[in-house]
Amino acid sequence: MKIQLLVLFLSTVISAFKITDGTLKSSKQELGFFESDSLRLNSTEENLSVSFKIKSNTKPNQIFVKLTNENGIESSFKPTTKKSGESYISKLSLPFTKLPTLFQASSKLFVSLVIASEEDKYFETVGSIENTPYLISKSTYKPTEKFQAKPEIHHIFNEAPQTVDPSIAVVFSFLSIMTFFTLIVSWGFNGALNFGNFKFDLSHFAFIALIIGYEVTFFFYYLGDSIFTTIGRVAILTGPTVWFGSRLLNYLGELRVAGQR
Amino acid sequence: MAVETCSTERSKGPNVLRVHSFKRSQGSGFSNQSINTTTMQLSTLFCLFLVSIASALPSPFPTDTALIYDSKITNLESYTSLLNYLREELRVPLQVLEFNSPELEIFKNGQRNFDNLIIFPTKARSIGSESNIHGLDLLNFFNDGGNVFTITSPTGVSETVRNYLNQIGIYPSPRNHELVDYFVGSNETSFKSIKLTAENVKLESNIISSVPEITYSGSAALLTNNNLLFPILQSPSTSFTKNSQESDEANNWTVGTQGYLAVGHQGLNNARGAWIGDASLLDDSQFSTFDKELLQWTFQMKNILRVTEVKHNHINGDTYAERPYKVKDELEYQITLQEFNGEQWSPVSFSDLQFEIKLISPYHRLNLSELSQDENSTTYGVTFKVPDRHGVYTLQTIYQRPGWSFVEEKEVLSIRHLANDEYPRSWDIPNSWVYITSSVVVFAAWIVFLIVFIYIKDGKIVDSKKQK
Repeated sequence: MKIQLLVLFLSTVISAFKITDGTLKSSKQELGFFESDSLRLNSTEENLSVSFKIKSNTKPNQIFVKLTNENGIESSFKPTTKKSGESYISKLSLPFTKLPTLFQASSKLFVSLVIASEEDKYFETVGSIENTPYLISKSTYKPTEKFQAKPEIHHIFNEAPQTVDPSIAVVFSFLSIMTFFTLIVSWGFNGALNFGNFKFDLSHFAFIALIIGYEVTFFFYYLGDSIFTTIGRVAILTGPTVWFGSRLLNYLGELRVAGQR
Repeated sequence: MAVETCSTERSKGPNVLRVHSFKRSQGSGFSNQSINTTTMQLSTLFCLFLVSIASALPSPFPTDTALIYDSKITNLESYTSLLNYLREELRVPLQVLEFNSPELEIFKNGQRNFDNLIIFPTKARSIGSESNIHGLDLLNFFNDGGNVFTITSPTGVSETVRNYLNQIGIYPSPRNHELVDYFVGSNETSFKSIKLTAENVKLESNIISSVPEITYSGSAALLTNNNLLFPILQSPSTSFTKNSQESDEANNWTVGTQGYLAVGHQGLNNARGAWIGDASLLDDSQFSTFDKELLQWTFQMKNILRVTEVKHNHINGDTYAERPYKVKDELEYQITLQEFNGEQWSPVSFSDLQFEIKLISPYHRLNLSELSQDENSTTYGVTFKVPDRHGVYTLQTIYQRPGWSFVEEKEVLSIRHLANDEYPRSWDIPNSWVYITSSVVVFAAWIVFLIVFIYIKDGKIVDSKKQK
């Protein structure tokens, strides 16, 4: 494409045609051919006019005004040509909206003349047009889809749920443990921690062990044992617990009757 | 024990492989006739099974071809290089038929009669013995998997070919319109004999490999933006088409580089076609590598891709059958490709092969990297993490590039969500530590309370009871 552009710029073929009075015109600006400045288009209402005079005795077979964008994509337009004395006057009037949508979205367009007959040739870039960013933003041009690699897509995973900082959890857990010890100490200060009625009786220990057994069963349930396993274990524990529990309660009842508690 | 081997070759019929031979070698051991018979039958079935699979694959082999021409404007004696190339190098079973020959039937009993058509310019409006082959018939031929090589010229463009090309998006210049470039040569003849340069050759179409030396004298075509069209030759910037029968230069079918001189096209069914606007490119004076490559490409004898294996599994090697995929699993995906280069299946290197995992739209689109290569295939792969959304996903590799046969590999899989015991347990979450500790504290306090409750002796209560 760059080579094509280079060719466009440099391709002045030996020419017998003389081009004069060349102008590039919009509604607000007019430039002569070969001026370094570009014709600026800033509105979709603009009308691009290209006019020039060809000094020739015969009408050329080929007269085109060629627009080429930065990528070398070109489109040719045929101007109306009329004889005027010993010359031919060519005029092209092109509303901006009639430009190919690709050109409406191109920042710069080069204007060339291609004029030829069997004897003479003329091919030269005579000026340029700039579309303002505002005008480009109004363009409806969408590139055609071509077979090529598409942009990679990496799925963005949901973030992991936020949790409290472990150090804070440890502090609060410690406070919980301290509460337990505070409770024990407070019981001690109030004289509640005495074992005056202690009696070495296996049924008492069995009852306490069975109560601990319930807690252990529930803890294993929390760790992953099935509900059916848990129900089974509880069922096994229930009978001995009732039996040893009644023994213990009888003992406590006897103490109460005896005035020991 | 008798050992059978089978080999296959493509028959002369379209896309049909037939069992070529059974070679039986005698080994030591069993010689039981019934066992041999059973083995042979099983092997035959197996070979037929292979044949049925192979026949569904794109054809890399020469196939039945019809060359259709109009003797009024085409003298086949000028095309001996082409005919020799087709018959001797490509080994194509070739039928040369006049455009109105009674034998010219592109469909017979509803089946395609040929695999490839070469249609030279014709002066007639339609082709066929009773002008009964229309553009739609050619389109049906193409849609059925047939390859169509069309040539038009300013004097020979039938409505059959024009309608077919128009449906594809190629608009050849009307009758008598020919390409002219006043910027070459110095007389009327030389204006119409345009020597093409590298600027006019589109190598990115991947159909031809080098810039050919071509002097073009024919028609030009406008193209639509159809991405199934692959331009090969483009008109020079200073050229245009004009009607040679009219002095008025007002009607120009193409101007500058918007005209195209040779175009390839490929359907989504991988059938291929080509159009050139100058029959002299194929005649003995110009027959060259350009024509050979274009014919090979059109007849699916080059740039054919085939997938030999697609594999996906967990990163540790477990397959989907062994351990169905669930969200966030790490997986690896591999696909093995090979290319038919005109002679054999060979490895092929691409840097733009992509893999997608999608529900409705892709969740991942990842570039596949080359993992390994053996003597006739290349394996590409990628590792990825399954999206965190369960559903029925499609794992797919679609490779569509100009000039290459299209590859489309899809597999639909169910991706499950996490089971209730696959989420993190509560002790994995720091927040729960406070609750767990509190539960244990309550448990311990309850046990202490229980023991104290059983054995406590409150002196004040006992004393008051004694006083009573």
